[in-house]
Amino acid sequence: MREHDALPFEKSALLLRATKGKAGCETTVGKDHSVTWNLTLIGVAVKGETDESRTSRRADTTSYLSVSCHGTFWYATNRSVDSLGKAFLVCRHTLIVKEQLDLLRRFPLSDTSLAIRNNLPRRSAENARIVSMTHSHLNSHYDAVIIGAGAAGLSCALGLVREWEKSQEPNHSPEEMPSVLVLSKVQPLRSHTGSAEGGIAASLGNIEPDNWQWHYRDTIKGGDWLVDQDAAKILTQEAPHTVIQLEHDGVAFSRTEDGHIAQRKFGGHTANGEKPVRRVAYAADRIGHQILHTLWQQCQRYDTIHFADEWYVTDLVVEGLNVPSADGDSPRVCGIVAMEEASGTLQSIEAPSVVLATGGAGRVYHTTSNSWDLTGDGMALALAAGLQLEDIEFMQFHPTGLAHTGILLSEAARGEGGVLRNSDLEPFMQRYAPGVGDLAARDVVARAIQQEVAEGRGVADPLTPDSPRDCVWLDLRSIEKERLEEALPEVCSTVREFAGLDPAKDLIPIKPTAHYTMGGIPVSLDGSVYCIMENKPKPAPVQGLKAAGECSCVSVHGANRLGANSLLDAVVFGTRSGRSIAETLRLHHPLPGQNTSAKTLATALAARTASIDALLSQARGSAISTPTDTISGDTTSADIAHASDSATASDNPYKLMNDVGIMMESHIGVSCDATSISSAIDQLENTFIPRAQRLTLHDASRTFNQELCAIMEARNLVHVALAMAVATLNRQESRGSLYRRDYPDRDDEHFLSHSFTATDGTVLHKPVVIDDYPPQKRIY
Amino acid sequence: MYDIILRVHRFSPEESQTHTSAPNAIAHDKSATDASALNATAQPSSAPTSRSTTTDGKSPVPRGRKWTHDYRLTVSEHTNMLDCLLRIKRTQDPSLAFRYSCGHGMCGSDAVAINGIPRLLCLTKITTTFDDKAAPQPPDSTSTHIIEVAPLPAFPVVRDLIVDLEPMFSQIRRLTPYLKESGALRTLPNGKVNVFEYLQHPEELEAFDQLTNCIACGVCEGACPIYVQGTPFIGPAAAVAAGRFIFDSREGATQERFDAIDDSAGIWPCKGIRLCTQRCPRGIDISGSIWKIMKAIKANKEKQEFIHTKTAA
Repeated sequence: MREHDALPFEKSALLLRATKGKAGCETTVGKDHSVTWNLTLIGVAVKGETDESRTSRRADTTSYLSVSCHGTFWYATNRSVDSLGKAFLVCRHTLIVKEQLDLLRRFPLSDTSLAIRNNLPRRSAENARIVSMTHSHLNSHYDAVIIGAGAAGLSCALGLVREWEKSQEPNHSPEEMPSVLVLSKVQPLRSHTGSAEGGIAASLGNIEPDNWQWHYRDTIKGGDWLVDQDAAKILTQEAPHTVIQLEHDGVAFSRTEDGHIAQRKFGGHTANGEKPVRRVAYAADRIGHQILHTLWQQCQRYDTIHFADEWYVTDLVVEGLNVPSADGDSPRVCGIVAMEEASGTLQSIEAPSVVLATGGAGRVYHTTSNSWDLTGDGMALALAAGLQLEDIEFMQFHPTGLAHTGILLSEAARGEGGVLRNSDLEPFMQRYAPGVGDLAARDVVARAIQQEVAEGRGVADPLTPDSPRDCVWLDLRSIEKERLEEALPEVCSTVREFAGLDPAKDLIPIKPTAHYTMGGIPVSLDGSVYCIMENKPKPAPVQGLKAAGECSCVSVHGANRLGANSLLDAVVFGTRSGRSIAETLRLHHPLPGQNTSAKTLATALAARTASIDALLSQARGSAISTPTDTISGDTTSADIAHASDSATASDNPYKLMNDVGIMMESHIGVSCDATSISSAIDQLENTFIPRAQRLTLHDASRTFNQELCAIMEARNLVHVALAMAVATLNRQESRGSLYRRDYPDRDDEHFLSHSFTATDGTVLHKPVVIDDYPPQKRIY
Repeated sequence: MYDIILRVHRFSPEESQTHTSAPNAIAHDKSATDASALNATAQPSSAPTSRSTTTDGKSPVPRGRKWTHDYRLTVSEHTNMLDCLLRIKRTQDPSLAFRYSCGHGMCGSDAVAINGIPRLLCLTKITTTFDDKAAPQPPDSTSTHIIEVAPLPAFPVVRDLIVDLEPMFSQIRRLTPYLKESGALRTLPNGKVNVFEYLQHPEELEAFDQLTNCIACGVCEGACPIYVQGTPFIGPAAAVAAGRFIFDSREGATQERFDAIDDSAGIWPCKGIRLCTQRCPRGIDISGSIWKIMKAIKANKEKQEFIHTKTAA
């Protein structure tokens, strides 16, 4: 092994040959070694440019080569190099020498040649792996395609391969492993799971007595009895095991003095409904970051999990719904169409299993704790394929968003002893929820804040003293300074960085921020997506299609999610989806071939290619305004004013998403009524959806044309927003996170049921699964 | 309120496919020429801002076009650089490309060079850039501040401010960045063996906890003169990834991890310049950790030699 590592390189030389308009490389390898080079030339920078600036080299050339030969070979790029002096060649190599080796080399070239030094990074065969999917075409078929690489998507991938491994004979060859592709529109470590702060709930009982039944009941109560109790039971029963698996995978949980996983209090988590209990496992206040990185790291163990980073999925191809299937009425997934952001190329991928794990749709609202990427893509893909969204009217507003940024200040802040105060500095939560006070469920706190503001006891953000008094104070001053820094480092740095305040000394202005989409793509307990049809009691599953995490709705959160249950949901049900795919593959490997898939996929690819080509060809060559344009003020209203006077020509997806968010916030925010909802529907149908359809590009290039993705995101966002508005109008009651001023009470007689909203505006209902706990009044 | 000019380095690669229709390409070129001409008029003394590759029109594949684009904004003192660029996208130029996601320093998407210094866009307030030594000076004595935004050094530029971070990620992946747990179960004070989580005492967590904060943004790599130069070196980000496991009390393959980086192209090229530590947006003492790893490798070697001589004797 080590021999092969060294030999070819000792004797090899790499030459950069350049003639006007062409650059080439030549290498000689030892005669006895059959060598395959897969070389990706990712940049050539030429003297003059490298010397002149501190920003170092600019690599301009991208080219992909794959050469397989014996002895001396030569390859050339199709790129030009104007001159050649001292140059840097930045290459990414995949060298295969009997065993597979994956090598990364960056080496300087002096003049035209350089002997590669024998100091290559070593790698053992055991861990050898061809990894880089970036800048390359994907296979046209995978056993499973997972869309989204946050906690749910990565758990699904791990669940799949681990379950497969477990079910195999000890000496199986790796070829038999199912191939899994994880596509994500961002590099997986950028996923929004990384922003989750507080913790992950599990009745480990490491600090005080606890059991899953209490967690189960808290989850149902928190969800205002819209929770499917069979799902919540699985969630809470599997929680302790799930958290321990995460610990074994490497999550750096905070610890108790005796070395166990530490647990903290969290809103709505109680011991037998009586007093707050320490149930939430945490890692300071960055548990999401820890879990995301750990799951991604564990995925690197497996050769069969392939990653396609920065690929945007444009179509989910399903037969039997919008597109009639050839063989009967059962809907079935064929695969997807996706676009590589780096090159703008489209590709269709056939897969018997597709998992949607794309996260929530917080960007429907302007003030949100969600990242810029959470535009509801997975939900929109489902809607476009003819599926429904379940309980999509339930959007959780987290009470403690840092004023005017929406950035989340973890609930752990209150778990650790933070107190909400109004303009009179009264700790008002004691009035709204005697006993639990500041640790009441999120919707209760969010509405209490809104009530305080409505009654004139709100405060203005000190950064913008003239702004409306729509915030209240979060007081962390009672927490001992040392504990504050130790337990809430992210909260402290966010407050310092984005509000310029000292959490140990100052009151912090907060307001509710759109945080979590309880509803989503309806799934069964193993993650299988289904739809319901009018007059048919039985749900119709979509064969091969799964969903997990925030984009899905297995209905463990009901009408309002308890804090620290979202990571749990993503990991538990992500893993279950993966396992269930492995099980299906084991029973039918390969899955029964459907020869219509290829044709349906080809049609979808052709249609998408045409639509993107049309957008690109219409692209104007210049930006909408000259660089000297002055934009004044910090308010978004200035942006809207700007939009109205220059009309369609200057419209763009960023502006559109901003405008939709502002509208949704004022019309279907923490509270709403029939008038505001109808107005929202009207604006979405008559203003925003047409605007989204009219959007054009301002640049015609394909390489990282972000605006192209943003146009598709904006179109997704408006359709998800419309489904939310329609579902909200349909639910004539107040439950959990949804507060309708015109129907202020819960109405179990008419609305103890899940809503299923399709893109055509029809809303169907399905009864809630109630196994153990009949509905009660939800009092904290 | 401040009047600022963002001087953004832009790059548009030449595309090999013939997708782009010719008239658009020409129009785009023209606009860029206008922009640079405008800049040149505004600052006659400054270096030419457009560095477009000259092509004779017959050359089959020019490499791409580089230029700088000045965007004017009026913003409040609390505005950060990401707010500025997002506003540019919304109101001036939707074609400007840069990565961003969470907007509060957790996702690691938005590392760029601001006034030559690698930083995250979302964690850089405009006011903090005004004192940068390398900040471009405004042409006259106006109160306008110029902030230069360029792609992160050390990585190939793909478009505008977007670089290819794959070299960093493949280095991290090469170091098998997952816990290879030793599986050691601990005895509890009451004498029973704990079969659930691997016990880890707070001080054991302390030994590596800081390193788990890494968000793989690449700022340290762009700040490291050794890495930027192209010296064979695993780079500070990969060193952090290695250290995160080396110092984890649950890890069982420490020797393997030492071997993977104990190499002249491994961890040793680090010269303790400490710019990585200084720039890290997560406050990780990268340089200090690298030093600790080096120390651990040396100690391990001495231990191995000692055992070896003892066995030989």
